Amino acid sequence: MLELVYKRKRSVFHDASPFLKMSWLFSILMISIIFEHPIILSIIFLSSLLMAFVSKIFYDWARVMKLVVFFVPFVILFNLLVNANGETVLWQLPFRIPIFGILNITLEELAFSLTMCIRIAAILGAFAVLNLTTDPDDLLIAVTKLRLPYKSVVVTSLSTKFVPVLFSDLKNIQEAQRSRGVDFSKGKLYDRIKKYGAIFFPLLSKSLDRSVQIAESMETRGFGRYEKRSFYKDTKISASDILLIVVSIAPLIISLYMVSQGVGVFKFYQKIDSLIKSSSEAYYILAILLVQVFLLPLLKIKERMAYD
Amino acid sequence: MALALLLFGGGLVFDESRTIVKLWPYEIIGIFVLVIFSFVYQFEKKEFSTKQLTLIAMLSGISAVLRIPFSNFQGIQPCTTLIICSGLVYGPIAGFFVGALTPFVSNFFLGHGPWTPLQMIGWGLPGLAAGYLGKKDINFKFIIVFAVAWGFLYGWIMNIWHFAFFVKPHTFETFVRTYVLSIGWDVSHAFGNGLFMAIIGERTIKILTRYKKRFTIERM
Repeated sequence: MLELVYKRKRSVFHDASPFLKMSWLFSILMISIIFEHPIILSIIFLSSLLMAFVSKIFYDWARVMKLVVFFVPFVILFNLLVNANGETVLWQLPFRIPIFGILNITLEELAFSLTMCIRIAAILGAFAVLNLTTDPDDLLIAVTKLRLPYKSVVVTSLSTKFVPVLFSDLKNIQEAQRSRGVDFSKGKLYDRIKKYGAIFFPLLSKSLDRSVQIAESMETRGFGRYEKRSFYKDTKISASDILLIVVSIAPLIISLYMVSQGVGVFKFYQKIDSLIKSSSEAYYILAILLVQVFLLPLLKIKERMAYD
Repeated sequence: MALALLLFGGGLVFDESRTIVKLWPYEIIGIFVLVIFSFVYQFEKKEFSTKQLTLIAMLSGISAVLRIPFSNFQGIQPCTTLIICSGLVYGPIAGFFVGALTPFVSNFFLGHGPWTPLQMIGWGLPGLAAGYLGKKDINFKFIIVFAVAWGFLYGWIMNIWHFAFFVKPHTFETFVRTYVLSIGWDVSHAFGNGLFMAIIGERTIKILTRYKKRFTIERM
């Protein structure tokens, strides 16, 4: 059930600074939102695939990607129902439906939905890499270091920490109620929810008691005494990290330049564009690919320097 | 707050030729993130004791945990019940935070994505609205109707994301079609909300009120 949990492992990307991870994710996210060009989106997807491979989490990552495969028919069906655009009609329903009008399948709609699936795969893949390689705590410390409001960060990190504890509590209470004769797998929906209350109320009161205890222990450690917070574990940025961050942001800068030049716009309707329209577009795409791939040997070099 | 709502409304501007002007995915996400930050600012300005902070963290943790086993049944989730109840008892800002942290925390386990800010708003606003409701004396039946209504509103907020990302020609017609297609999901979510609220809502409010009374000091 809990598939996307961080597991401690030793790899380059696991040990990398949380700032690098965040900048890498940000650049991938922005590029995949800016462009609708299938080739660029494939490159972005390739980047997160390679990163999953380098950080030795490929099997966990591939399980997440299976979700996208389930997603594909849904997106295609949705687009076929909503849109009636495109010139190359492949198939058409002979009658009209009240709100939706003419129902037809066109090449353009299919191409658009497949491209959107690549986009969602790229975004999900990048987030999955981040989830699997980063301790939420490190991430939240890095966020605090960015001078974001500290009270809300504390609340967020506390509730993230509680999740595994609460989950084991939930299981304990469920087993206790089962031994008292509550059968959770039988009954209608109404009865099931009523039985579900037998887990919910004990969990609620138990964890509210716990929250009071935690508040007291935080107060004894001097929480909220000073304006500025001190840290037990420090995250520092080294010179090599700054270089890596610049490299990971570079594709975003290239793509922003592309947008300002008007290159890389891909139109699906009414007629689908050719994949590469001009030679300058090809050069820009190649540049993005090279910079994305260039990050990996740099990480490898850093690994050599750190471990040997 | 007014600024936040203005930004919220600014996302959907219709042209005279019935096409939506500039409904870009990243603008949508940006608007929602800005709204969330405006609430974070409100949260920082308000004085909270350590006990209240941990209480908010714990409630959002519970609601996130309850979401995970139910993630397979589309919509039928107990989260909204808990969010609305905590909004009713602890006030608007706390309610918003419990709601907004629920998807943020549970998505560490279910998968983050560009949909996270929209989910945060979609679950935060019922907490906020319930906070304002809680200041008045209201019938419990009205709260059930309120939960059902937020089942639909959550679906409509999430549809904005779906529309901006997956539907290409952003015209009024495709907009309406997207909303018509989502009815099945919305109904199941609203139905689940109402059922959960009717069965476990009242006792949850009782428990939360008891904890609130235990740890507040009133000067006579």
